[in-house]
Amino acid sequence: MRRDSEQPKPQLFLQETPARPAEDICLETRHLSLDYQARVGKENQTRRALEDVSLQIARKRVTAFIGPSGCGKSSLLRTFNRMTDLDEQSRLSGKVLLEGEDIHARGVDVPMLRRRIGMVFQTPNPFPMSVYENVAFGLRLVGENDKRHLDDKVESCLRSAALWEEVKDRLHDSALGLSGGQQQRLVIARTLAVEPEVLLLDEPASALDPISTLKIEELIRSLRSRLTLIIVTHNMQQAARVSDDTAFLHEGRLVEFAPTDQLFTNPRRRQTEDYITGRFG
Amino acid sequence: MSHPDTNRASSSLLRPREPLVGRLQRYWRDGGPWGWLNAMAVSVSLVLVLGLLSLLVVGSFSHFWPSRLVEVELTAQPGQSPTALTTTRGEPAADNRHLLGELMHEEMRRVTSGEGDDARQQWWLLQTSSRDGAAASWQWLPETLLDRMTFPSQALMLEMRDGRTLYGMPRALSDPMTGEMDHTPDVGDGPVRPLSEDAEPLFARLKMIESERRQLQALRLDSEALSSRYQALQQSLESRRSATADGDPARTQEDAELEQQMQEELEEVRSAFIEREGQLSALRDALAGGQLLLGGNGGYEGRIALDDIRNAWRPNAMGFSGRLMMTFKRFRDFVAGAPTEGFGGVWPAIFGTVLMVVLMSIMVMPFGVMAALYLHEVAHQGRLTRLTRIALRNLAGVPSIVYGVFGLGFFVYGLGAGIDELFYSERLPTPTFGTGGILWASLTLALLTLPVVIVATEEGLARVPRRLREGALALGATRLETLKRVVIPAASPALMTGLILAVARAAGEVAPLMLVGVVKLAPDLPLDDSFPWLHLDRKFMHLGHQVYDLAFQSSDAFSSRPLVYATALVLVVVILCLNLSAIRLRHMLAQRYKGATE
Ligand SMILES: Nc1ncnc2c1ncn2[C@@H]1O[C@H](COP(=O)(O)OP(=O)(O)O)[C@@H](O)[C@H]1O
Ligand SMILES: [Mg+2]
Repeated sequence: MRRDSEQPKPQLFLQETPARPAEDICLETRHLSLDYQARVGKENQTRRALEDVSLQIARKRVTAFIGPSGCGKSSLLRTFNRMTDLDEQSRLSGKVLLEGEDIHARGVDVPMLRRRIGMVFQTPNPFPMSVYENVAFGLRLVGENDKRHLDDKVESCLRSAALWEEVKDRLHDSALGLSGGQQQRLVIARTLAVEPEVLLLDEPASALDPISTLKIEELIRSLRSRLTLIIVTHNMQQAARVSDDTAFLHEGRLVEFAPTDQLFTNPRRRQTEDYITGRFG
Repeated sequence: MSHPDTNRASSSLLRPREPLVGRLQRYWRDGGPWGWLNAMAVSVSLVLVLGLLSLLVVGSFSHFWPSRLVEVELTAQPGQSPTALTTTRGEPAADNRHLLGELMHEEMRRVTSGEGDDARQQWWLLQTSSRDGAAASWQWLPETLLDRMTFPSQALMLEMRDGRTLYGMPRALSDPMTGEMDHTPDVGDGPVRPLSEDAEPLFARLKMIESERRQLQALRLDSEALSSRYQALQQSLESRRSATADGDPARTQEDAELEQQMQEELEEVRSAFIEREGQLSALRDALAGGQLLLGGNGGYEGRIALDDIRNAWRPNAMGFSGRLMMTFKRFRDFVAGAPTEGFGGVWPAIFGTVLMVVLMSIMVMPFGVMAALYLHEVAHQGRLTRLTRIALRNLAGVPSIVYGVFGLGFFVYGLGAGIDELFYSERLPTPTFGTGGILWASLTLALLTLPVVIVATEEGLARVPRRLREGALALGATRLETLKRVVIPAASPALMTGLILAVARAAGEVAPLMLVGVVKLAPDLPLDDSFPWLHLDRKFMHLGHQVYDLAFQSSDAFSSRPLVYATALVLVVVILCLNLSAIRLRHMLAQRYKGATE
């Protein structure tokens, strides 16, 4: 991944970020653009996935990203914990600030950054190990091997993820034997174990049945008091149910960003209104 | 498909009756013939494999299955002494009309008589032992030469510890203690007449000897342990004494008591040792004393030390189950025995084959896995990586003898000579590593199987889903930690697949090994109880090479052919076992990481 030198682009869209004091801001992007280079046939093509996105995400609130498929929600989320580094073809410009610090600056400890900003993916991806080892994974990474401490931590994280009662008798069975919904909550527990400040959830319930989805949503609401949550969803009801703020993205641009009830009841932009009323998407 | 009568038939699911041509056409279109063709291909392969296996089994077991012992009486032909009846030294035999041996084979031959018309004649092949017990000799006998054939039930077949096989009639058994014959041999009545007495006492004695030998072995170990304990005690006592010499103020009452104790213990060990030694020599005497008087061909009799007999059989007196037992016992001896002159075992060759494969696996796995990790996880996926990959895949197709030549040139003459110069210069010009050995053989095979391992591992790595890697990275794992804790475990069944392919290829290789360290007869196993236990510089024996050697280098086709089958059978079984254990390992890993790669 390469980064272009920073050059502020002319603002095409009015940024309607909810006004809030600077000390409440946890994560912030400034003029963030992202290109993917793809080889089509013989020539390299550049696809713009994000275009000049600037937004401010408040601490200890749930922020939802909505928008039609392919609009860049996942891409935006992946820039926050530098998962975009994995794509050799991606090219980034602009800034992402975590608590005022540029996460793309030289000398940033990326594993450390990823422990502070956890991520849960669309398809549940438990490791092929026991339930216990899945939760302990992140702790073992930082050299925690004390059995008592691990036991306590595993239990408390599984409790936080509302999974303890279901798995407490099969902690040492393979995690791959759990149902999809349980797996996803296990992944959340695993992420909570490293005590992140921000939790990114990329369509966490889209592969799950309605009851599992409900449980995940409950979980998100219960975690709100502890950390900052950002959830990508293509399901507008879900965004309305769980989030405090909602950002609507379209074709790589941030169209509107407002408190959820305001965005859903009184959208300022025509495009937003069309999307939430289902006139396109 | 549209039929002319679609309208009428539309109510029924049944097809209207068709002419034969139409049915055949549909049969063709439905792929019926192709199904048959595929089934045929499968059955042909299956028949070939089963045929091969049964050929090996039948060929080798016919060798171990006891044939009957036959006593023939030859027609006395005046003025013509059959060559068969001279002893190995060329002297005419005392009795040249009786012959005892194992009936190996019979066949019909076409002989041309003087008038030009053909006649069919039966010939027998007899294996006999010569009087002085030298190598077995073969006798082809035509029916015209035979007067009488009998199958004496008392006839003995003796397998000696040195690998010889002797045939004869039991005459008498000597007393184990005095060495005196307890029966005066009755030699008057023909050369190979059984005594009225049967051979039961002989078998009983042999069984006793077997247990005595085991006892002897145990005693020997025991007395060795005692002797080393004695020495250690003595040493520690002496060092104590010199440290706290008399008059030393540090010497206390306690010290003296301790010394007294040690002295007593020493005496105890000493007397136990002396007792063991006495038992040992008594046993040795008992073992050496027993002798068998065996009546052999040509009217000769020989005394045979019972201790030299490994197995004694009476094939003519045995029933089916006895023969079956004998077959299995001989097969076991063949598998577990060391090679000797004549009949020998293949144990060192099995050992060499397995050890070489194990060493090869230990070398190729880390190397191949690291190379695959580099290619798949680290290297920039550009043209150079692609080229490397293509080159690797092609390397897998290079004939193995080419690897042998490389191993000889690079490892043996290059590396080995260098090692000798650096570390073993005092032994030069006798090479240590500068000649073929198990190290170079395993390394050559590791090189040979490296591409297979790399390709299989890379495929395994490619099947580890991206979401697993991302999951680990998102938890703050570095790339190395992700590889170590998630990717490699999830890909481990694929690594095992690589290992299985490598083992299968390496275990059956013979050609390159002949250049880098396999020999027909190695004096020592490459792994034993002398420091440093694993002797990487030693030459070793290999089943594949044994097969080759028996098949092409043996002058005696009749006796070596069954051994070729038997050795090949053992080779197949060994490879099967190696493969099965690798497959088991893969299965276990696959169970453990089930669902990780989909
Ligand atoms: N690794 C990648 N390489 C190339 N193009 C990508 C990659 N990831 C995403 N894209 C492109 O970027 C755009 C935004 O994708 P994404 O962020 O996944 O959208 P969303 O999550 O909103 O559906 C899409 O057009 C997609 O094709
Ligand atoms: Mg997405």
